[in-house]
Amino acid sequence: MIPLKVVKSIVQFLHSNISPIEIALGFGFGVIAGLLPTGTLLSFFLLICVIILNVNFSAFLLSTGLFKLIAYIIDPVAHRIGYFLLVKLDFMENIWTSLYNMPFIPFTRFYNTVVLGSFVIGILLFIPTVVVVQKFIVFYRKNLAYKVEQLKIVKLIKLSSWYDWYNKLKS
Amino acid sequence: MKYIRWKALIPLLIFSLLLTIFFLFFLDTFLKKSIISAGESIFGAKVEISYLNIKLKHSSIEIKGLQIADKSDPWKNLFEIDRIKFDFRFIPILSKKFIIEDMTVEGIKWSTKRDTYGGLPPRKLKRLEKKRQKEDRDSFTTKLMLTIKQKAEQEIKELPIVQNIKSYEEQLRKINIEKLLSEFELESKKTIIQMQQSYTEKYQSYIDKIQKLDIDQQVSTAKELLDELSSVKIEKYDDIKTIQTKVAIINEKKKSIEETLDSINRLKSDFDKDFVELKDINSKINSALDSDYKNILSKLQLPEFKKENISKTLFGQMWIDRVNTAINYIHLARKYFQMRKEKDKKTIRPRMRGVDVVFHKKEVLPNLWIKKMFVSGTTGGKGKDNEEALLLSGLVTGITSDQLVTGEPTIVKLSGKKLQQNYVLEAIFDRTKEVPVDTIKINVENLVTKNLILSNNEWIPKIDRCNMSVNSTFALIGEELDCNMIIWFNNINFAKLDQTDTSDELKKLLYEIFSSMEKLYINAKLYGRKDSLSFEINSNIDDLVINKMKTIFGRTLQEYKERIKSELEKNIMEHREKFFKEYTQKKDEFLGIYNEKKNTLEQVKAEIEQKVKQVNLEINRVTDTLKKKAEEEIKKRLFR
Repeated sequence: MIPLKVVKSIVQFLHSNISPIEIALGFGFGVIAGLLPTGTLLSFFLLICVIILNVNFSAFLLSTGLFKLIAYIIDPVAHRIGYFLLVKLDFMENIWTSLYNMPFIPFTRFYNTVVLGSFVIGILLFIPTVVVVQKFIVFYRKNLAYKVEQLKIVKLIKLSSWYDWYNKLKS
Repeated sequence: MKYIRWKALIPLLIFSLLLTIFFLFFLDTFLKKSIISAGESIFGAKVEISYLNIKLKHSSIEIKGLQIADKSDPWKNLFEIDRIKFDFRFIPILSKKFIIEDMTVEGIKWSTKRDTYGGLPPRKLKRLEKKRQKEDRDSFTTKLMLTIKQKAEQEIKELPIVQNIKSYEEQLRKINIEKLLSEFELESKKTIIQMQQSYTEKYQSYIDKIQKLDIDQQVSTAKELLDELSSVKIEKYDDIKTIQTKVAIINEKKKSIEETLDSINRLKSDFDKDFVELKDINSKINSALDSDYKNILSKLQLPEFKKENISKTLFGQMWIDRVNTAINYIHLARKYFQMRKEKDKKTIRPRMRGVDVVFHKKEVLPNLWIKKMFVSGTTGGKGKDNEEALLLSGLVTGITSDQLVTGEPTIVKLSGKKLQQNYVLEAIFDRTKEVPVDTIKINVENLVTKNLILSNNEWIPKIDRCNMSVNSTFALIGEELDCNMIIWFNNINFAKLDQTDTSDELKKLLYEIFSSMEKLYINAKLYGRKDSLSFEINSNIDDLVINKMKTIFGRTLQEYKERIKSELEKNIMEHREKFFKEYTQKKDEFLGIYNEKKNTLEQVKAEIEQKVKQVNLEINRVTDTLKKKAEEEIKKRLFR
């Protein structure tokens, strides 16, 4: 039932009145969180950012889950990028050394090639993701929302008790 | 759009506070779980902690009842520690640096019995193994351990001593002396046949030579001459002349007979030289028989007990296991106390995902530094002999992740003494020089050992009790391995055989071999670089086992040898007897002929001599008579 829930949540925030930028930012943060290996201080900071900042949490969770799956595929790429940044770039050495010996920073595990590589990929993907997702939501709501609402599957979703409960909360 | 969710701030703070309280409250549990997880990852077996307490106020941690199971024997602990207590510096923790001034480790015991199974679930083990393999993929020590394993497989023959005995018995059982003799071309038989032919030819040649002498003809001629001489009557002077002529002829004949006699005697003397005494002939046959016996024994390929490989077979695996255990500790030391050069600003450590890059900075604390660790323990423990156990104590200094920062190697010193028993363990893991140097030395004197299993081989009886002294060094200097171990076992008492074992003849035999030993000495070496490792094991067990086996199998072997000898004798008996019979017969025949001919000749010669003498007497008598007659005639004519 997980795919149905995913579809439900997508449909829900696409058809809601939530600001497209909130959803896009949530999705963008989710990209970074999804790509980062779990259990690092970076993931924790990211979670706090998502709670404090006015971004959509459902979109964050959705993209985190989605990019967790992708993360395993792009691990080798992340490792290469991290290796290049940590080992090959000599001029960065002093910065890394300082960070390595600073309080708290080592708990981010930035010195791991996969962690740093994934973080960099996440950061690089953040703005394009936010822009693309925001534009897509605007376009969707303007051109596709009505058509999608007429789909039987969407009607079915709307009939579900969870949707009712969600609507109540929203109102 | 509002960018900050202000309403969420207070719940977040409350949540964070609750989280911190929860974390602090369960910090002991988290740390316990972390230590267990890290320990299981390192040792590949169950790690248990019965009590862990963190006092943040005092920055101290106390751990009680730490047990680490042995991966290779999950019903035993690799080691267990009763209590660990240490204070840590708080500020460096914020930079993920763990600095401990003094640590106390009490009640270290190893190879103790466990109440519960210490193996990890297969899935977890597989996952950890996969992680370990990835992390250790390029590790020199991992490759070295693999090479040692391969070397052991090459050097330690699959067949243990038991297999040799089995094969020996099998080989003995397979021996079919009759079949072997029938297939074997006997030199002795050939010699007899050759001698038989040669003596037949020789005999014939002597007979021919005698016949060529024409003795019978000579004898008959002489007899005819004698008859002729006898028939002549000497009455007148003319008769004397006639008979004198005949005497001259017969004398000639006598001369010829004497020559024949000389010839026949020469033949006899030659014959005596050729036809030697039977005992000489027999010794010739016996020497051929000896050579046959030796050839058959060599063809039999009776298994010989070679002393090489017995020690390797018996103790090779034990030695390799010990070396591997030591190298495993060295491997952990090399993995966690990594080597780096002074100029290196960063080092790389493989991890399950990616690699960790460690950045070094002068005069900055290392990630881990335990300055002093006071250690105490015992050689006893659960499932071990606690009566004779030694109490050990010692000091470990300079446990650190970066020795270049601390400037000192990690040194372990542990010792214990009880009456005559002495135990000293010294280990140095040095990363302060150009090449990493790891040395573990264990010296044990007169350690009373009970229930010792010498070899993981069901055929070798367990030692009930013995005094053991060990002098061992396991060193890995750079990539050069140098391991040496000398073990002396004195006053050995082997465990008695079980009821089931007594029915097994082979086990009884092996028990007989081993139980007679009182002293045992083993010197094992493994040295060289990874690609040219040398593996040596010397022990007095080689000679002890060989001598004992020779004694035990000697009787059987002697029986076989005697059977071969008697079968050989039997095989040529007929030929030898036939040959001896013929030989004696021929010799007797020749001697008979010789004696007959010789006697005949001597008889004729004597007859001739006698006759000639008679004739000469007659001639003289007749001459005298005729002379007297003539004188009387003259006197008559003169005085008429």
